[in-house]
Order: sequence, then structure tokens, then C-alpha cells
Amino acid sequence: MNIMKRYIKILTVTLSLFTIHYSLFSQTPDQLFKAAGSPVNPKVAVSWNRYNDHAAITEICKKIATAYPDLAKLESIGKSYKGRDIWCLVVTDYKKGSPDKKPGMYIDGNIHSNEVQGAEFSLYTAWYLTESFKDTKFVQELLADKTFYIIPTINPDGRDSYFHAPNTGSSPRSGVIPVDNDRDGQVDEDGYDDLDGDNEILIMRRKNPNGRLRIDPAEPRRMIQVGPDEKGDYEYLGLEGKDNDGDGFVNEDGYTFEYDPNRDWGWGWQPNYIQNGAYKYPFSLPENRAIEEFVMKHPNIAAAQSFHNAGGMILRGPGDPNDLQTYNAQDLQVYDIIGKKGEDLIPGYKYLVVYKDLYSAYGGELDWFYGGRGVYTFSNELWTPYLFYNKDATRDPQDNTSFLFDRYTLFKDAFVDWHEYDHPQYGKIEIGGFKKNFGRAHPGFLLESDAHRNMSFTIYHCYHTPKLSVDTLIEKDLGDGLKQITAVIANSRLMPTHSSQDLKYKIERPDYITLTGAKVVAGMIVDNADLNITTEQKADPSTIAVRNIPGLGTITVRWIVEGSGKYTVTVDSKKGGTVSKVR
Amino acid sequence: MIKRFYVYFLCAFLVHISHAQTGYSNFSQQTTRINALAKNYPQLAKVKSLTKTASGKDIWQLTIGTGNTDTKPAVVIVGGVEGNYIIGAELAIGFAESLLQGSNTDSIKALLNKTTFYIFPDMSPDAMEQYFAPLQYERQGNATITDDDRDGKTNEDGYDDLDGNGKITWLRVESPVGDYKTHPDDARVLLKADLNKGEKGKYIILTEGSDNDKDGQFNEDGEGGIAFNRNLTYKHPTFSAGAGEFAASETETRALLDYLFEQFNVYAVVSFGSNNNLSTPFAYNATTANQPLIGSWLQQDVKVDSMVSDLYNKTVNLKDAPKTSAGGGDFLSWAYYHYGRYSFSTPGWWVPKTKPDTTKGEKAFIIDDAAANYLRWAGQQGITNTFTEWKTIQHPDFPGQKTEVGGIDPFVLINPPYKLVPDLVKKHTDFLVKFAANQPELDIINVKTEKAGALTRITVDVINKGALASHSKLGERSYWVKRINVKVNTSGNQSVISGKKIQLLNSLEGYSSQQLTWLIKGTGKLTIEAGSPTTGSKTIDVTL
Repeated sequence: MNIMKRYIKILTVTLSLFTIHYSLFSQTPDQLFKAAGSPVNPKVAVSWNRYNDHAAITEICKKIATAYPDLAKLESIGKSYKGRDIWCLVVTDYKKGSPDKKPGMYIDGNIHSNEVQGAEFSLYTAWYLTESFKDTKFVQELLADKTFYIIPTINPDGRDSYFHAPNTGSSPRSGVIPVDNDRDGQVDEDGYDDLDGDNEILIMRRKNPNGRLRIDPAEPRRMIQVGPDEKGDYEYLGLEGKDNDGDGFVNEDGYTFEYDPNRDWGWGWQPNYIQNGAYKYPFSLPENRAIEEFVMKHPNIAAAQSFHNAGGMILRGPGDPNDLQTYNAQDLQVYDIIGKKGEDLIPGYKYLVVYKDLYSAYGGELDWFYGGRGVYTFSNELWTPYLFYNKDATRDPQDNTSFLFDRYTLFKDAFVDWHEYDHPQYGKIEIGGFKKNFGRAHPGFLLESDAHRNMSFTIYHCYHTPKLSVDTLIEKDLGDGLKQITAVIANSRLMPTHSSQDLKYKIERPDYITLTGAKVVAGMIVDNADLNITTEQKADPSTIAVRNIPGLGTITVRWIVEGSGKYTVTVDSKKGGTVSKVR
Repeated sequence: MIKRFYVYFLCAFLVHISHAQTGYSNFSQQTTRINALAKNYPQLAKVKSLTKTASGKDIWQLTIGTGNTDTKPAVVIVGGVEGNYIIGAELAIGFAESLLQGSNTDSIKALLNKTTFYIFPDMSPDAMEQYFAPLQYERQGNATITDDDRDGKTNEDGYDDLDGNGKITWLRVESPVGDYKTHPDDARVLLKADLNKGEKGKYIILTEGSDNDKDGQFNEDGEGGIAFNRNLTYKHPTFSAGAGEFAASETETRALLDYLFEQFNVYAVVSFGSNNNLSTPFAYNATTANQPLIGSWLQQDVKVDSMVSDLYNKTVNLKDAPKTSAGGGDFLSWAYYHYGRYSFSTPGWWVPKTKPDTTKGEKAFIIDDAAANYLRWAGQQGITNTFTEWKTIQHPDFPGQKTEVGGIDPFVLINPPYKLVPDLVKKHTDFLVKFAANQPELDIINVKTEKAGALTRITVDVINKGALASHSKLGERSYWVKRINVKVNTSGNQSVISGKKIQLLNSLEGYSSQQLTWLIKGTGKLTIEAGSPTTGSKTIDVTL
């Protein structure tokens, strides 16, 4: 290598370092003043007013893991159909306890390709927890006790196709494995067509003296229905596209509606002719399979959150009305307390039940997390038009609020004006409408605040996973060298170690309470300490198996031991963690 | 050393040869037989390993047919649906062998010209090996390690061979609260006492073993993981022993489903296992058939089952089949309800109903019972060594109680003595060959052209000349079943004025037709093509 070349290389590196330095530290730390609740000078600079494709998410995840090696580790838990990594950031205080033995909070986003902001909301959570750890005692305590498993997008192929391919705000919902929707033997032969080449799928309209629509005189971008006695002058022709295969149908088999990844989970699964969107069998999609394997390997996951859009909903199961009876009073209490807290924390959001307030669905993700794993799970439908002007509005594109907000607050950035197009089948038409980034996705300036509020809800949820302690140890001399040791084990949070669904199907093993260091003659569960009612465990008495440790409650166990000396009582619960006390 | 190895190898080989002819094949013998077919009939049979089970055993697939096999209407044949039905794998491999042995006859040649057979001889190789193991017991679970009683421990309480005879039979314990009594016609057999008739039991019955983990239950969590026939998606009994944490949790289940879903040419699935809709067809039940979560076969499909059952009974001629009902997660139900294909299953054999041998002083049974019937039948057939005489043992879980081990040996109630197998293979092969003759087949007939000014009106009948419909009625609902695609291929100055260039027909019933018509402008020749993967396709030329 000649000297000149080397010189140029050094110069380039120096220049680029300088540039990074200049852009990152345009303000110096001493020039900044902390706004309450936000990291003032984060190590990882992220703008929370825009969206990130999978490569950008990968980048941010890596930066967080590099900046905070003691708080965040990044792993790929599997590959998507097209080979993209499904990233999981495991956030906890690695200096305190083993991550997979602490109660776990699982968070994911973006299962539906177009429901993108869940990834930013998830990622914001990882970013906030790591960046706030230093200044915030609550976060330090939280990460000492709990582990967050954060998977920003569990559908990276679909995410990228939503951004980079022409779409509406509602497409694609599906992932990208091809399906022959119209069963003609050809796959994806007639999808949408981006006729005007603007990476948007908009609405087609045509002048028609017999049409039933006309232009709204007050808002010329908006089409309104004419009254029964009026004559219109326009008709709608559906979404941008043409009959590509000449079968007399427009857009009937495209890549944007192959299947629904949220009908592919292993509880109450039904085939596609019963549950539209189902694929081959539970976890037949590689992305969901990766999640299933990850969750099965992490039985410490005690709470779960998935982010969808839209509508401003905090949803719990069941999705399938047949599961109604599995949600018993104990579990409903846990759900209701957390869900109603969510309504307070996230203005405009309502706590609802999937099957009755939304629609009944089989094989959904939250149904598997609760039904199949016994994990308390919420699914938030992010974004509500309430957030336009902090008052009630609807998502209906005909609702004038959307047009007003676009005109006065976004300065018409969210709408493609109607423009003419010469269509091969329809002749002279016009194309226009709201862009795909409007209607379901948050406008930029509202993204960070809603991300923070939703995060605060998941943190409240996580906080209430079990927190166990060996509360008291009471000794009593029984004579003849025998000693009775009674241990009260407490759970100081809302959630029990086993939900009622878990208990019904024995999904997770019992909690083990073990006495070591003394010779155990007998062991028993104390049903009523005052009246001395006990149930003896004949086999392996030093390790008492209890089915459950209730939320905000205690369980009492007792051993009869021989001799004296130091001993240890250890509680080992899959979802409640491990604690011990030495006496 | 080398010499010793050679001798060992030779012995193994010889044992193998003789064993293959006189007894059921274990996994390695199955493997040899399956691969021999591909080697001996390279033009007609292909073998591949679909996947491996948790213990590393291959799930073999044999494809039998000619030319481009994936483009011909196909029948799937599955054995080893349950690991304790050894006969099922034997029938599946036996069918492949006899079909290929007959492949130089005109009838089989014609059959293989238009039909493909995908054969999966053994879906439960892990479980089936238990038949050949030093300790024999009826096992359905694969090699996945499971916690059957969901207590947090795995395989902590399996069977125990208390009498050391290499077979797991039964344990009976005399008890004043026992609920079993001896059979009035055969004291070796135990029956449940009918408390409602004032009967009193004498014995508690358990499977042979001890309560190894002292939890009060016997043999509730032994070796043997997930059962293929409980692991499928229709009414999956999630969390029950052997079913899995969710449907299709097992590698072999998924591999089969992944493969079959992409084989759009499959029109029927025939499996060998405990379920039976061949000797007794399903009955139509309007209520359950029309539930949103469909609970029984649709009316049209019940008629087909009835027709096929009739063929089965006439060909195979086995009578008095025991009643069966699918238990959920089973393959018979999956192939119909979730795969949308015609699905048939038979155990392939069952113990015939015996008549009393009056020369030996036998009388008709007072109470019908499978074990008593078997013992009488076995006696008449001269079959020995399938019953373990009750023998008193000392059992640590029952101190001071009279405890005996004995009873009917495993496997014998559901698997025939091997000498009956060749005849069963022949009959089932005959049945499958006759069944395939009913396959749906498209044709275009009655082609009529008329002039209408400068236009030509073309009218044709698209017909199904097979007895089976192009698709099961249920399959019409599923997007894993392709429709019949009818295309008019125009060229030059030709254009379609009326009628569709491309149209999809949901299905055609057996022996039925649908008339289609087009108005075409232009001159010369065009082609009309109709087809679907389950019916084959047909193309005709029409001159305008």
C-alpha cells in the first residue's frame, strides 16, 4: 500500500469521526437540562418521531447492547421466512441474579406487518430502561428483580414490505409467504398495482354522471355520499390496481393478504375455512415458531404484552368465547386491576375483552400466551384518533377530523391529492387519498409520548409479576431431639405464581420450597396454622411442592427435623423466581 | 477383529432374512424393505427420509408412480399411526411390495399411469420399537421426553416388569373395595362389577408396575412421549398425556403436514390405525355437521364413505369390527377436517367373533368381552403363549394383600399372528387398487360450435367421469384445495366476447357434468383447458 493511499484512508477516518462527533454532540452535556422522566444525555441517540425498517431496528438494538453490556444483551431467536433475524433484547441487571430465573416480562410488536409502531414502542422500552437506569432508583430495583424480553418486531419481512413496497395503511397485514388465495393454481398473480408509482396504494375514483358520490364543497379532498334525492358525479373503483390475470377480478390474489400471523398460535387453533387467516397448523409460520420455542425455553415469563394498531385498546382474552370459563374470578381480578390502571395511564385507551368488544378469533397470540402458557397477557391496539385533539374522534376516513388534523397540524403532509390516470380497464380515472403512514400509524410528534405511556403500562404490568420472600421462620422444640420449623412464604405482588389457567391444566410445575442443612423427618403444607390443619407430603419431604403461591398472599409449610444447626429455606418458582433465607 | 465383525454381520443378515418372512419387521428391517423397493423398481418407486424423530429414526416416504408423479391425482397411505398397531406399518409396506411385484401386469401398469401413491409406512417408529424391545409393552409415544402427569418430573414412574417375563401385563390386588370380578365363563378374565346390579368386585386392577414416585398413581409417567395420533390439529386434546403442549408439536407430525399441504394432487388419505370408518362408515348427523366448529362429516362426504366402505367390506371381508370413535388430535380426523381430503382408516385386522366349540363343551358367552373372546379364539386357532397365567407376587405397595401379575399379553388383541399377515396384505392391496379406480377424472365432451354472425359460440360439457367427486365437500371450503380452472387460450385475432377467459369451478360431483359456453370473435384454432391437481387436466382444440 502506498503512502498516499494510507494517508487518504487516515484522513477519511478522521473526517468521519469528526463528523459523527459534531452531529452527536451538537450540545454539550453541561448545556442540557433534564426534563422530568426522560434521559437527558442518552448514550444511544434515537429519534422517536419516525419509523425504522428492520435494518434500522437491528442497528438500534446493537447500539443499546453495546452501550449497556451489564443491562442489555441482544440475541437472534430465529430467522424469518426471508432469513431476517428476529432480535430479542434481554434487559435486566446482569449483576444481580440470573436473568432466566427472574420473573420475565415478554414484549413484542408488529405481528401484523402494517402495525408498525409496536416495534418503536418496544424498542423505546429497552432504550428507556437502559438509559434511565443510572438516574432512576425505581428502574434499578425493577431490573434487579425482573427480566424484560423485548422483541421489537416478530414479523420483520412484513415490516419491511410495508415500508418499502407500495401499500395502504392497512396492508400488508400478512407476512410474505406466498399463498394462492383464489385457489386457481397461481400464486400472487393479481395484487395491488402502484399505478402512479408513488409507493402508496390509494383510492381510485372516476367521474360518472350516475355515481353516488360527490366532492365535499367544504373540503375538496373528501368524497361524500349524495342524499337519496341528489345526483352524484363520482364513483369509487376500489384500491389502486387492475385485473392483471384477466379473470374478471381486480386485486384478488396479491402478496398483501396471504394469511394472518395472529391466527397461527397453539391454543384453540382452527383451520382457515373456520378462522380466516389461519395457515397450516399452530406455529406453522417460522416467525411464530421462533417465538414459541423461545417462550418454551423461558418458563420464567410471567407476563406478556403484544403491540398492535389501531383503536386505543388494552385488550385481554379470551378471543375464543369457548374459553370464557377459564378466566376465573382470581385471574379477572389481576387483569382488571392492571387493565384499568392502563386506562388511567394511557389517555384515550379503553380496557376491553377481545371476543366481545372486538371480534371472536381462534388461534391468536394472546390466547396462546394465556391459554397455552398461563401467562397474563395484554394486547394493545396503539393509536387512537382521540390523540388528534385529545377528544373523541373516529378512525373512519370519512371523519372530518382526519382532514382537519392533516390540514392544520400536519400541513397536508398525509394526503396525496387526486390526480388523473389513464387506466387500462377503467379508462380515465383519478387516484388520491391518505398516505399509508396516516390513519393507523402515529404522526411523528405523537409517537414518543404514546410510546412512553404504553411503556409505563407494561412496567406496571411487569411490576406485578410475583415477588417472593421467605417471610418468617418459626421454630418450635417438639422434644426427643425433634424440631418443628414453620416457614411463611409471601408474595407481595398482584400475580400468583400460577394463573388459574395454569392450575387447571398443570401447565407449569409446582413451586418447590426446600429445607437444606438439617435432617428432615417429615414435611407438610400448613392449611391453617391457628387450628393446626396440615397436609403431609410423604415422598421427598425436604422439598415441599406447592401448587401456587397466591398474589398479595402467603403460603405456609412446615418441616419436622432432627438435630440443630444452620439450615436454609429456598423457594424455587418458575414464574416467581428463586429466594432463600439462612437461619 | 475384522473376522469377528464379519461373522456378526453375516449372522445379523441371516437373522434378518428369516425374520422378515416370519414376523413383524422392526425399524431396521422396515428400512431395509423400503429401500429395497426403490432399488428394485427404480422407475416406479422413490424413497426419501421426510425427517428424523427425536431418537434419530427416519420417517420414510415411498412414492410409487410413473412420470411426473406430483402432477397426477394421488392417494396417501399411512401406517404406524399408532405405535402399538404393528400391523398398520406391515400393511403399508406390504401394499407397496405387492403393488410393485404386480407392476408388470396391465392393470397395475394402467393404474400407475394415472395415479400416484405416497406411502408413509411408519409414523411412530420410536413407539413401535417397544414391540421388539427386551421389555414389551404397548406404546404410542415417541422419543420426546415428556412429563405425562405434569408434576415437574419426567419419566419418573413407568411400568415395572414385576414377574420378569419381558412383557407388561396386569396387576390384580384382592381388595374388599375392588371393582373387578372374574368373568363367569373364563376365570382368567376380569370384568368390571356392575354395582347397579348388586354385584360386588374382588380385585383392583392396575397395569404391571409399582408406584415408583409414591404419588398414589401407578405407571403414570413412563418412557414414551408424544403419540402421533394425538398430536394433530383437529380437536387436539392439549395437555393430556401423549398429546403435547399444542397440536403438531412433534417434528414428524410437522414434516408430514408440511409435505402434504403442498401436495395439492392428493384426493384421498388411507391410514391404518385404531379408527375405523371403512368397515362401518360414518353416519350423517345434521346438527354436528352444521356446527361452526364442524363435528361430523358433511352429507355428500358421508355418501362417499358409505360407497367406499361397501367396497372395503366386499374386498377385505372382515366382520364384526369393534366400535371406534376418534379421540381428538387423530390423523383420520385431520385428513378430513383440516386437510379437506377424503379420509379413511381401518385397523386392518381385529379378533373375529368366535362361536363356542360345542365338542369342547364351550357355551355362548353370558357376557361379551374382548379378552374372553380372544382367549377362546386363540385356543381354537392353537395360538399359545399370549396369556400370562396369574401368579402371586410380593408387592411393596400392597403389603399384606394378595397381589398377582398376569393377564392378556400386550399387542395380541390388536395385531394378528404373523401368519395371517400375507392374506391381509393381499386383501388390502386389492381394496386400494379397486379404490383408486374410482378416482376423479376430468374430461371435456359434447363440444359444439355454432355461428352467430361473425362470432362463434362454443358449448362444452366439463365432466367428471370418476365415481369420487373432484374434491370432498369439505375440501371446497379450504384454500389448501385447488379449484378446477377452466381456461380459454386465444391467439391472433381471437377475443372472448362473452364468457370468461379464466373461470374457477368449485368442484364436480362423481359422474357429473357442467355445461360452459363462450362467444368468440376471430378465426383459426383455440384451445380450452380444464383441470385441477386432484382430477388431472384435459385440453381440447376448437376450430372457429
